[in-house]
Amino acid sequence: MTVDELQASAGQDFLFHYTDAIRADAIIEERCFVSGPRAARGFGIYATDIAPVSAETIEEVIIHCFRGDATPPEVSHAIAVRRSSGDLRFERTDDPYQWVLPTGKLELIHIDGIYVATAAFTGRGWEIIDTEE
Amino acid sequence: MPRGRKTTNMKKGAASPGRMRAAEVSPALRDRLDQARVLRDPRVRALWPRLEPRQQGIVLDPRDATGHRYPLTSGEVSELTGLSERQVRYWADRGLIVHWRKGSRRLFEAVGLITAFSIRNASQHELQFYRGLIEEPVDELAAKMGMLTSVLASRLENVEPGEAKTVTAALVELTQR
Repeated sequence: MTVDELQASAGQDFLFHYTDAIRADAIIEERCFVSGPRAARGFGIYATDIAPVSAETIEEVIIHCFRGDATPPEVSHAIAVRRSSGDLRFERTDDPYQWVLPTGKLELIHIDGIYVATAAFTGRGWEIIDTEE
Repeated sequence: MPRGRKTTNMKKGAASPGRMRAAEVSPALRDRLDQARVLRDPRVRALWPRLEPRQQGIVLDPRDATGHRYPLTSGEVSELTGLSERQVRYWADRGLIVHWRKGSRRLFEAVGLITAFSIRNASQHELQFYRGLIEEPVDELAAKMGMLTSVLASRLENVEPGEAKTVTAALVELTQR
């Protein structure tokens, strides 16, 4: 899996969950997401079709997905996921940039099947640091 | 994730079998996730724009400098920031450089490096101010906090609501602990 392949499938097959280095490590190690304690649009795992393309992606994600309320270290990792697999299915929200996999509050969601890869921002671009087995 | 939580808030019947299930999270990962939560604190977010671009680059990807991802050791934070190891330990043990412990080792995530760079960038006046607060007896500290609150209240009379929120966010977070 390459960054170019992730970009080519953005929005069609793949979505991207942007997070910090620690939560990315947790996803890589445990193959699970933890849903957040607060939810503006309902509890769940949020993802976007904004692909990790360049240094500008960070600002784009902060503006469109976090309404400016985040810093770059909070979104320095992109978890690529399939839009659907088995009974896991991301649904569109009323925000054109956001999809959600509905969950309960602070639930641990095992992502075998939808996990594709993790890309980390290197300061210049994005680099794949983990892929599905 | 709150410290001490080992399993998920699973509700029976909330999902089809196998989709979501409770899982153990290791103590180290739990400590690291606590650090991820602090990264989103208003007081840390306020520090980010004050870092130099070179420092921001190192925070985003420390691998060029260290050869590995987070967490970093005290020695690595010292090398990256220019603080001595003794200074790193001093400010870490007094709560200004955010860290977690694995046994006796202090370990640092992105939030730790942001706070360490902020200490590195601080003027001697600022550091003296922090040292003063650290070393004051509690009753003296309370008196100084009272004065500081009066200063803040006065400043807030003349700022926009958005700016006021930025100023008070750290205090709100403190009172919620």
